[in-house]
Amino acid sequence: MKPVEKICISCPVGCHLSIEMNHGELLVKGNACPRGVDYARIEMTEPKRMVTTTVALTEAAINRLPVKTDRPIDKDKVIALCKFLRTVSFKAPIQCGDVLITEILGTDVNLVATRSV
Amino acid sequence: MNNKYDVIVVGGGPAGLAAASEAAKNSGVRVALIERDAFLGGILNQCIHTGFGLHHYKEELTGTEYAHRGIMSIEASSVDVYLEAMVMSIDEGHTVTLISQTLGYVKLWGGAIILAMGCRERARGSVIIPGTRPSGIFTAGTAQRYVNIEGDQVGKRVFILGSGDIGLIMARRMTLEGAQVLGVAELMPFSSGLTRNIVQCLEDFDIPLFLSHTVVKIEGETRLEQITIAKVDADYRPISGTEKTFACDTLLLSVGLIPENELSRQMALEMHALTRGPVINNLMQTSMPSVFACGNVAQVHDLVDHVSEEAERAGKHTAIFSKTVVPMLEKAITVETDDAFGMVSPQKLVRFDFENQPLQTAALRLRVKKPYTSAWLVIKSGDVQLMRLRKNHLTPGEMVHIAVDLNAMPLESETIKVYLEV
Repeated sequence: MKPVEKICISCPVGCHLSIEMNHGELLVKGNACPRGVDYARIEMTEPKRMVTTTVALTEAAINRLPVKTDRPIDKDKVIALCKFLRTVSFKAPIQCGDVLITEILGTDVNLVATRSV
Repeated sequence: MNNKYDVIVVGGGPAGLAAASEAAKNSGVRVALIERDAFLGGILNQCIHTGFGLHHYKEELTGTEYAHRGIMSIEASSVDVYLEAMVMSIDEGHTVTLISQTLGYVKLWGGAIILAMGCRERARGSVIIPGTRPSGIFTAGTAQRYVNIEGDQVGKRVFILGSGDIGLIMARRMTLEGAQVLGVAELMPFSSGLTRNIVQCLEDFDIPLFLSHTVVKIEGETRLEQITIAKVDADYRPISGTEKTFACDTLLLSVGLIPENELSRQMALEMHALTRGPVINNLMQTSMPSVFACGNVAQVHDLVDHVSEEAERAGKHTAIFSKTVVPMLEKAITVETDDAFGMVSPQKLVRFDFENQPLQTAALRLRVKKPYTSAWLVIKSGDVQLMRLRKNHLTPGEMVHIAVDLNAMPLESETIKVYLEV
């Protein structure tokens, strides 16, 4: 299998990693410290991302409510999540930290407001 | 309302919030906070992404959550807040004239003034791109406001010039909003954005980054239709024959920030050529003794956490200044740098605070002009070496922070100079 190139973001050095999966064995090159291997493992097996976006808001002085996932969600669900959130709408008043949607898209992730309106 | 204050803070973004709330912690110090928008929080209100607060609050927050904490502490304090109020002038370093939606024309008097007006973006005019002038060309921050606060879509096929953090963040943001981001061009051979932003905002979505490239042509009648980019040589001149065209309806510019200093210049404060902000000392005091400055108005920061830290310092010293009758007599030490640095702040160092208490250290911030994998940072007074620090991985995108030992300064030194030895 062709090696995958990734930049490690564990610290500001930003090592350029070359990652190979060989019969389930992970082979990492280019890392300056062990954190590079951990980073590569997570990125290759179950990459997750925090998602921040906005949702429609009514009865407030602003049109959009900023929101975030309360924990990282599978990377391959990010686009689907944003697409879904374009269809929902919330009504003020809302407090920063309020949970708006639980177990979104069948995951264990909740959607939280990040501004009071 | 009583128009006499001990401290008046101009600008209700992160710097103003932290400065006002810190000044108001001192009993008997009356503080006013003036903001031209309808909300406190400044630019943080449109920064819906995470990455804020790791230093200041020891947890990762979105920009809006970071603003929320600052606004809560102002609401719990005795600070008088003036919203939708625009400062027109500051006279003799004490009299603030403002125009307010609700109060009309108002004059306030402050024992001390803190400038916290932040910065604004460089626009198309500052980078000079040939071509027509269609709609669809925005600064990245303007587009960010349209998308994140107003809820308007700015375009469907987007190209971005400049790989500063706002440009990178907007590449991801536009993608998540359903737009197609065709690429990011950067004039320099390296990105000035944080590595984590290059990875999570560009690589995650397979958005190409064209280093040493710039936009050389803009085409379109009423709306942007097409742009052309080209590779540049070592002198940043486009190389003929390397052109690539992209059909797009939107061009976002992320080409730098400039401290917003109309009021500072109106007051004839001494300005610094590298930071483009007022010259300040380690108490955040400008060349006019009753006027202080903190946050992006003094120098453009990478992290809001550092803005809050220095704004709190400004708030603390300003509160003391407003209650002290004795002006400072001590002569300040001037901080100079060699050509490797594009910025240093503060530019003056004093050894005593306004209560004449000795200060032990001063926080010095520097920005290199280009990346270095390893270098020595050397501080000298004349030929005498005061400090020598090894620094790995210096990049223009991340400020260097050092604590200068003020006790190590020879008493007679008038100037210290920071050198980079490779």
